[in-house]
Amino acid sequence: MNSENVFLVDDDFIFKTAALILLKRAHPECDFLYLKNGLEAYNKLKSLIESNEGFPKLILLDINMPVMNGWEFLDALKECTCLDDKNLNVHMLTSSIADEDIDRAKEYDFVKGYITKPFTQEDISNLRIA
Amino acid sequence: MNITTPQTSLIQKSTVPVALIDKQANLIEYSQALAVFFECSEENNETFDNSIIDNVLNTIKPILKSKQHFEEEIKIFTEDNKERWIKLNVYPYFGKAKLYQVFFSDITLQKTESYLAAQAHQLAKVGSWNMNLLTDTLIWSKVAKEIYGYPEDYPITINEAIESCKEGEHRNKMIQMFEACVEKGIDYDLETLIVTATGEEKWIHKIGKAVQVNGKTIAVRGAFQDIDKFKRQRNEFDKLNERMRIAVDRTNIGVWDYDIINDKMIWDRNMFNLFDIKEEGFDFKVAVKNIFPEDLNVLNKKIAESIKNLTSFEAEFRVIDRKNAVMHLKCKGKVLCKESKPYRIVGVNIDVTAEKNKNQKMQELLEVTENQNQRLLNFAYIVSHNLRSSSSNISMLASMLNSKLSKSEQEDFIEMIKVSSDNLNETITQLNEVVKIQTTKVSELQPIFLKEIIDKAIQSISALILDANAEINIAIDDKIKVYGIKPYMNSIFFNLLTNSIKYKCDKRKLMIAINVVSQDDDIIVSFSDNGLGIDLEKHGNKIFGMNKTFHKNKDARGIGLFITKTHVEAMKGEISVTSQVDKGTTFQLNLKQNI
Repeated sequence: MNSENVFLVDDDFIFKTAALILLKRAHPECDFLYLKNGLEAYNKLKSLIESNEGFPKLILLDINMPVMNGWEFLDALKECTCLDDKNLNVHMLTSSIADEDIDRAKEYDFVKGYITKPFTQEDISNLRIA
Repeated sequence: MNITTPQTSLIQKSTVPVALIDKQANLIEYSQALAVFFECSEENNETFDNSIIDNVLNTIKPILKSKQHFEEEIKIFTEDNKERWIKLNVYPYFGKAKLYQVFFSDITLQKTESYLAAQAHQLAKVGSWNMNLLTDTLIWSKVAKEIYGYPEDYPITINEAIESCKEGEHRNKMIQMFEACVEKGIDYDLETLIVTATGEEKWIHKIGKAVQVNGKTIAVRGAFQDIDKFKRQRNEFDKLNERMRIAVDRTNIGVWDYDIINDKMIWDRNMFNLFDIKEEGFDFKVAVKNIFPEDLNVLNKKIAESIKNLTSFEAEFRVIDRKNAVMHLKCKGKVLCKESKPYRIVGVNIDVTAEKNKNQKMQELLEVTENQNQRLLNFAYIVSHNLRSSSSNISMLASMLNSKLSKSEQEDFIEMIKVSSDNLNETITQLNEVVKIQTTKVSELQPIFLKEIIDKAIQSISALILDANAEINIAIDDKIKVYGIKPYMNSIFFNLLTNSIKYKCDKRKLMIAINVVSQDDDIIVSFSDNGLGIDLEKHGNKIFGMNKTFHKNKDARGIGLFITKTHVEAMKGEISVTSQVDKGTTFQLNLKQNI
């Protein structure tokens, strides 16, 4: 059982490159999984459960993504009966500072935080992954 | 007494009713015709009772002294108790003895007629008078004096007659007209105010007629009628009517009256103003042609229905005036019935154009406001997402530059900062374009050859097309023109082409098909690809929103389709999309050929 996993769900290649450098530097003990959109993240999550490998301890989620955006991913999680909400720990990580997005994030119990880009060292220490 | 005269036999044989009498009014002889005159046939002459003649003759007995001819009218009653008027013409015939010839004539008809006329005059209060200019005498009838409030036997003078006219315009006019009648023989007929003997003002209808001999007026005869009550009522009515008319004139309300049975329409002045047509040569059937046909259909239906159900109706319709401007009229009508049969419709038409235009203006303003509001929201969204994603990347990358990065990592970072700043720049350019679209005017639209536009767009991204190994097939007539703005048309095809390339399916060669056909006033462009496709069930109507990116790859900004839609609509066109995931997408553009 490996629960040191952290998902980074974002379609922006530049952001992902920089963010992963920062994250790995702060938490070399963790495995960071990069996923390009909501659907990739959803499928990965499902396969983890099926193979009984356990939940990621944190999901960093962007909103604006192709194929399946952040909201659609959250809705899919909500509807999926095979997932235990209580174990989910999602933090939004987005460039959106719109109030409607911030308010909408609050509607999901398993969304525990809302981080606006740029992603900083300080944001990482506040996450308390370790 | 038995007197024989040469006339005797003549009188007996006379074919006119005549009798010969002596000075005591004794009947000497009479004609057969007189017996007939008294309803007795010739055959039973023997049985004719001449006492009836004796009775008649007795009435003239007291006046048989005259040596001159005289007339007398006598009323008798017939056997069946009917009134009969007989006129006697008495001629003295002096021979050996003093005798008289009496001619009989029946004047019952004339008598009763003049009697009725006199009665009618009394009832209608028509007074008559006669002014003899030769003797300078004025005679008024009984009713005339009654109208003026004088006693029956009052000897009215000419001065009194003139002074009875109300001082001022009424008297002046009367004198003027009377003089014209005397001097030039011009008859007059007028309504005027008089002052009666009791000082009361009264409206009188006066008629005067000159009696002329050899072109010279010798008398004036006239009549007058008391029309005071009627005149005052009419004045009151006229005043009311005038007030109504002024009120109606100001409100742009036209009144019409339709005779159902005779198919006749009467319009008031306002109706002509409303329809902007002349009163002369008015033909209702022609005027109706100015109404919009579809509105006329509805109107006719409503009228037919209200005639059938005997109800009132209300409708609105549009009319073209002489300046080709559209007017909106509101019509209300009521069906009138006689013995529960419709025979007439009376209605009003009101001009509601200003109201309509105001409403439309308001609606337009509302749409503009809504549109602007939507753009503002989109603008805020794009600032929040697209602008911030690039700017936050730059900020993040820059802050990491001075941390522990390897040389090659630093070089990568600088490259990434460059890409991000390019993206930022592009987003800002597009935002600027979004703002610009809103200020397009219709007057800027012009006919453009569509083929040229498409060729140019393809040429401008030929490197991109080559790189993507895309195949483009175009089916268009060179001569097809669309009504638009060149930079917008360029931008539309540029956006659609790059969109297809961005969202191509890596598993197959990209094929793009552009088909253009002309259909009525429209040019229909169908732009299809075999790319990734869009899940329309999920994204539906938000597809052309500024904030939507469906297949985000690194170039996607989500503004492209929004700008395309705005451009199409600015040129009065429409855009729609059909798509199937993993099959491809087709955009259909309906562009205008003319204004």
